[in-house]
Amino acid sequence: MAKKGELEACWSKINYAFPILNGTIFTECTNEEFEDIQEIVINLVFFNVFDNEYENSDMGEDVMCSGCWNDYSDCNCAYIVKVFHDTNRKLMELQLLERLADSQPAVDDIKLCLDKTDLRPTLCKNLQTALETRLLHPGVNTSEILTAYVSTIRTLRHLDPSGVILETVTKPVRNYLRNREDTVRSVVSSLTEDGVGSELAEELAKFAADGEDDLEKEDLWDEWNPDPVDADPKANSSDRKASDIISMLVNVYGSKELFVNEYRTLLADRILGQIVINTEKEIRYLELLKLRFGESQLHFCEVMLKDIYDSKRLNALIHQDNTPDDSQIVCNGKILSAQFWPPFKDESLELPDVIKQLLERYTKCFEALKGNRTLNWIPHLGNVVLEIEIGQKTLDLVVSPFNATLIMHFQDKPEWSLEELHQVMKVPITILRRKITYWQSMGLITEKSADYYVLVDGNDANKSSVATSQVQEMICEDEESESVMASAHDQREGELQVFWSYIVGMLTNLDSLPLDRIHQMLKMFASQAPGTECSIQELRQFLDTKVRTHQLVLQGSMYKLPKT
Amino acid sequence: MAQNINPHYASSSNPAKQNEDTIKLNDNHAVSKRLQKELMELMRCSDKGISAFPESENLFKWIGTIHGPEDTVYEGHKYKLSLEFPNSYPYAPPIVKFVTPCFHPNVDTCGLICLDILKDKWTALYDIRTVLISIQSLLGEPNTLSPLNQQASYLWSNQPAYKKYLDEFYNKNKDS
Repeated sequence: MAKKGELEACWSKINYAFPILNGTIFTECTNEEFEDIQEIVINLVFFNVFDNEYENSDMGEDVMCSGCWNDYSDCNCAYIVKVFHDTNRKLMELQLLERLADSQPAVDDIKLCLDKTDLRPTLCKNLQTALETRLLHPGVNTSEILTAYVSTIRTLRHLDPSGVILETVTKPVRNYLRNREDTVRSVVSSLTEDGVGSELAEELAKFAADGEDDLEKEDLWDEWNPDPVDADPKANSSDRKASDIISMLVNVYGSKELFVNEYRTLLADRILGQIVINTEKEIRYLELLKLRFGESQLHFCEVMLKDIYDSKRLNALIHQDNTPDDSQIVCNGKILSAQFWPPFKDESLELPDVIKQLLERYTKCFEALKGNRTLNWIPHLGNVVLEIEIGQKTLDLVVSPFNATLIMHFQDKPEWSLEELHQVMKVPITILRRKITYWQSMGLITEKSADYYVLVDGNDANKSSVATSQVQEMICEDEESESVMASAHDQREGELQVFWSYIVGMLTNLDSLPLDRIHQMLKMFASQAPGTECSIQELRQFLDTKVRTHQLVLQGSMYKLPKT
Repeated sequence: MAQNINPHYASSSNPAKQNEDTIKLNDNHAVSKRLQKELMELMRCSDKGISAFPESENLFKWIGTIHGPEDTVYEGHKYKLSLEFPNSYPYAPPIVKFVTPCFHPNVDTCGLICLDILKDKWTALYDIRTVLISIQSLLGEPNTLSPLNQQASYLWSNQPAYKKYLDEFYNKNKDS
């Protein structure tokens, strides 16, 4: 430790030389922190800072510093470099990137330093490594990565308005996100969910608000600055500046369609999963999204919402005509225009006769109202509000039609074997076994012997609750929230299957073809077939799976059909 | 045959053949569209034993493949054909030839086929699929009364000998 007098001298030197230190860093500190930092800086000044070329060169000589063009005696470069490193390190430690609001002063410091030094590459590299080690590994949730990505974009935007640092630093993040399966889903759901933590939703609303500023920007020509030297010369600088947070996220994939499709699936899930739908809220979001993605892309979603709106009216109309009768079951239909909805998962389910009659009556009413149109029921979608009375227990539940059907069968007959259930419900046994765990977990059904289930009487429910606690653990949490839509992956598979018949046709007649020829031919002849474009990489993957299953032979670079 | 007349020409009341170029151009488009549709249909149905696909980017030249029909002497054989579509298709029949040499009473040594629907019996209602199916069934049921290949025609009545000769012929030529 240096002597006190020396310390003071040094400190005044720092103050004199580098007002930034006084100006910003320490203004936001508590007294304790102030002292801590003061000590750190002083130590560093003594032992490290001058440990560079400026210090080593002869101070007495009247030479100009190559950094600031001042005499060495007046040179601030060393301090600046020091402060830069110091703040930079703090930036990593304090996770400043993720909390711009708290770390604004530090970022301002770095910003000032950057102008005076050539440390941009170092900063970029450090930030990149920090992001990579902290975020880009399997242990982090996609939503967390996205949050960090968003705040990184904010912070770096502030640090470097030209967007060059941002582009460099976040490149690995973008590449990584591209490989995560649930990225699109996470982005879309955070775009549309409201409440705390949905920064993206705010961002979306903000975009709608300041959409009109574009004209003003045109007038700022006299404030133009050239791009920094490390900018990618191929990229357009105005693009870099203009892209906001949402478009940066969308650009991770480079395609709007993917996002719109995912939004459609999520919307469908949400609409079908809820009994009461807040159409107004959904329409508001849809309008916001329309501003961003364009009218035509979201036309399908518009129809979907209109379906729901119309169904509400129709239900009211039907109930008005039909006074509630003996059955006491109220049926509200959701009438979907199948053309505009994403494909549903294909599941079979035989509903109980009571329900079937009810639906038939509903269909009759619909036919009477709508002239020559009829309804095609999808039994496994929708919700059932159940009230179960068993012994002294009463349960109010909202369950899937599947579970409702299951428990309704137990109403008629308290004991069922899986095989019998399979007979009446027409559902594969494996699925039945999986679904029945829901009722086991509710303590209503127990497995008496293998594949043989009995209804638990209300009186001995207490006894069984111990046994069922184990079952509870084994149930997947997301059982009920499972998506009813066919996954994007399945859909794509189906689309590629269309290509497959073309590929077979091609190879039967033309013997063997290289990949690019197949791709070209498909583009020429199969483009009218449903399913959008297929990239050459995707095609290669698809063909490779076919090679693996011995449906194709790869010889050299030529694909062939195997000899039969 | 009213069906074989392009309504474009038939309805044009102007005897001075109003500028043929535009008609041709329009037609060309219509023909490609029809061929594209036929291709889609063909890929969708994927009938057993017949198949065809455009040879290259040119939609007017196709390669077809026919497997010899079961329970005939041609069973197990595979023949390639070339199909060429005129600009007036489907009002004129496609020109179909065997590429793989085929020993058959109604096919000559150059691969030309004698089949009524490819000549005077053609109507616009036929398409590639029906043509290929017809040729496939022609293999099993030749018309020995108007042969292009006399030797095959004579030999046809003696099926075992025909089969023996045919197999030799096929094995010798299948890769050419």
